[in-house]
Amino acid sequence: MLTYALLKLGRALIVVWGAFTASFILLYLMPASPIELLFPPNERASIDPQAFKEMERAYGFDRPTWEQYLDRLLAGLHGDFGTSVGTGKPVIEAIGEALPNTVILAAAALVLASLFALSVAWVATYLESAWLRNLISSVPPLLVSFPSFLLGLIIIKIFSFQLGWFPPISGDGLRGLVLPAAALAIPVSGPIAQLLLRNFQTEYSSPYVLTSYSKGLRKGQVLNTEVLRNASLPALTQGGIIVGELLAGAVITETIFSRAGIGRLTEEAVRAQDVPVVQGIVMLVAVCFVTVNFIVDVSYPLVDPRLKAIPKGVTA
Amino acid sequence: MSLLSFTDVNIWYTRRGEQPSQAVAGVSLAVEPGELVTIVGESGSGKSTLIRSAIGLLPVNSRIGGEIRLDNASVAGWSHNRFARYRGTYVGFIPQDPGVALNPVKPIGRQLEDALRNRLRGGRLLPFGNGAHRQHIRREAFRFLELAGLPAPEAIYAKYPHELSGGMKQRVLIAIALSGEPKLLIADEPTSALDVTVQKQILDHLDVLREELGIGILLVTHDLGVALDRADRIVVMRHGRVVEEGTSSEILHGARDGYTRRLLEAAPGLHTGRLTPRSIDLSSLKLARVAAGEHERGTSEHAIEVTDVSKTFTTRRGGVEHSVKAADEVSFKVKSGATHALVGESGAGKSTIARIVAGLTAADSGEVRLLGQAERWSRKRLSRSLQFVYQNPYSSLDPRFSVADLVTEPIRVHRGDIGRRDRHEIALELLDGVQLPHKYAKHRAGELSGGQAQRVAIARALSLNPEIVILDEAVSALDVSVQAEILQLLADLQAAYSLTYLFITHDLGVVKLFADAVSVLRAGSVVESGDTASVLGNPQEEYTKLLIDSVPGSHLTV
Repeated sequence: MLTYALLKLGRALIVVWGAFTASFILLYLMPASPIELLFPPNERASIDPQAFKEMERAYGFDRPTWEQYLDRLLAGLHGDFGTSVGTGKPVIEAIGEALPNTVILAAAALVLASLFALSVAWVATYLESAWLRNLISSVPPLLVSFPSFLLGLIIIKIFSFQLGWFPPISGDGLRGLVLPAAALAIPVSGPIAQLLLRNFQTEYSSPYVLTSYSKGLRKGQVLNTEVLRNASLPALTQGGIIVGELLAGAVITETIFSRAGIGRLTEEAVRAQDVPVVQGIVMLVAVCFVTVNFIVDVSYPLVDPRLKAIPKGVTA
Repeated sequence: MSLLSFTDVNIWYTRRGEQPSQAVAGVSLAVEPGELVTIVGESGSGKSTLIRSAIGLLPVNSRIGGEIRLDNASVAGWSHNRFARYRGTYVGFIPQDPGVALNPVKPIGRQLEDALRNRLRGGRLLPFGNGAHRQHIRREAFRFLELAGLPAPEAIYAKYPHELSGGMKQRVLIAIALSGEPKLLIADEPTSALDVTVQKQILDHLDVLREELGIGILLVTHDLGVALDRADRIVVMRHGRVVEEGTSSEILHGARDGYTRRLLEAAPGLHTGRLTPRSIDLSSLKLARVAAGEHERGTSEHAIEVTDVSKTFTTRRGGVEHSVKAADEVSFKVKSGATHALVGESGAGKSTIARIVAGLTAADSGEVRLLGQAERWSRKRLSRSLQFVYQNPYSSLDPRFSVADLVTEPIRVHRGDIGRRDRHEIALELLDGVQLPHKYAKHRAGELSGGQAQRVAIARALSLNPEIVILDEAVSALDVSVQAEILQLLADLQAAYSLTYLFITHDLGVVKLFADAVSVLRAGSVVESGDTASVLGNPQEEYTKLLIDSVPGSHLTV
């Protein structure tokens, strides 16, 4: 078990290092110097070469590529990704300020999405009537195929401008969280619901369900005490993908609802070509991904007792 | 008053866009207190459908006609929630395959307590559990595990299903079925997946429960031997209908129905003589070319000689090494053209030895000599002389291949010089050999019945004209009458192609029919070895006697 965990940890570190290297190559070795981007396009031709050199030295862009790479890697290990070219703030600080907002939004959306997906799967399995069941089963594919930017706009239009229940610009507090969390949750819940729906149906037709019924359990009890856990275990493996969807969705949601957070920061940094910030965000996403997958990998044998005994292959 | 009665019950399965198919047609049947009734029939006879209707566990696409009475209530077509108060407390159910009938992610104790909690909830005011109540439930759980014949309930309580053997899981299921103190037990092939000795213990135990608790038992089995040994009344079903009904001796001595008589003839436990091969007409010109082109057939006296073969498997769990001796100095010889059976219960090391002989697993020590040659053969050379037929034909045949392609796949791999058209002709010859009509050449494996699929697997094994065929439980998954046909076919093919069989089985009845010599294995070592008649007729070892004694129907004479 320990060797297994260490192996997974080693792989996770390699992935993070790979993400750093790739982002360095893509971002810092672009033909345009990041310094030039500080100036409006029409002034770029008239930059004082002397001042340009000094700024390059200040940011460390004048040294050989490999030296820059090692320097930044070493600094990155300490959590230092340089300073934002746009605002002059350290990258780590900018991310640190934006992160809590996004974590709250993503967590709220994840809870909403999971609850929704679970209820869809549960109800669709519980119902005896075939056409009602089919009706509910057709909801998740609909959600998957709905673009989230359109959904966000529709939600604002209805609940802020027409009904006036929630503010269109997401401020602090719970009231401001409701609309963006819902807008983010709906597209994320689609794939989870599809997965759970299928798992519920396969698990519900397994033989142990007959055994539970023969004990005298009611249908709801059978679903809650027997089927639920078996059906939701495979959804854990989707953890990494779901985190990716949440972060990608946050970019759009936070922009639409003008909510401060990693998504907004990303959008602004990319628009301004603020290279250090973009790299900082890339690293954050990579670390999130890898951490979630690592936790899933390591905890899976704990939640599914069968995995502790790994069977051998067919031929020795 | 009957515990359970069926009156003119019809059950259909509906599928969208298709005609409903009738699984049970006009069955009437009753079970009295303290009575053991068995329903005997082959797969597809509707026996499982019938008994599941009595506990409301049919799939949603089923339609029931007629009357099913439990405790004087007409229960046909009830919903799960309406049925819930009868299940467990009035009627207990022991499901078919213990391997999959328990929830894999829940400890045994909790699965049993679910059933108990349901019964013991009555009369309590608080909806949540308290300490004393939990203690009470746990004590009850221990009591029922013991009642089901599990000696150390404390140890089993916290275990997960995958940590128990098949027999133990079946006992847990019996404990669950008994925990509601039902008046009627319905058991769907409760012992079919188990070893004979375990089967005997569990059936004995059910007998004891019937006598002590006076419950009625409705037992479904495909094994006529089991039914004849145990039942007060036997009901024979075929194609959804009852074809015959009577006591054991009535069925055994005075079976009126032709199908019942055929079942009696096919039951291997009731036979004594060996099968005699019938000659089959083989105009196998093409097939002969396959053989002639490559290697000469061996002429040594012994086709397989296994000398002092040992194999130990080690696994690490939680930092502790466990080692299992799968083979411990195993030796036996198989004469060319003869059938040698390896018999033993699961875990005896039969399959390990077969895999070592086939070169799929390397032995730790010892020697395997094939066709008198001592040197190790390459994979390619091995597969020309030695082929396998496995237990489950569906999982060993690629469902996307046509039968013709399946049968000639070994030729395609080994003999690039044989063209597509010749291969097709060879496929048809092989189908002739295994007595499958040519029209099946275009079918896919999924469209065949179990017996047909096993014929295809046998044809595939024969396509390279091997000297040795290893039959790994090759007939164990088949219905008795199909089993009898396949065994006859194997005997015919052995004579026609001069094959040597290494026959692995847990079923001593089949050994008697089919094998010239037998080695009885237990925990990796050979207990007793010799020719079939002397080992089975006059066993020297206790273990062999126990095995022979456990074969259902072995005490009966036709």
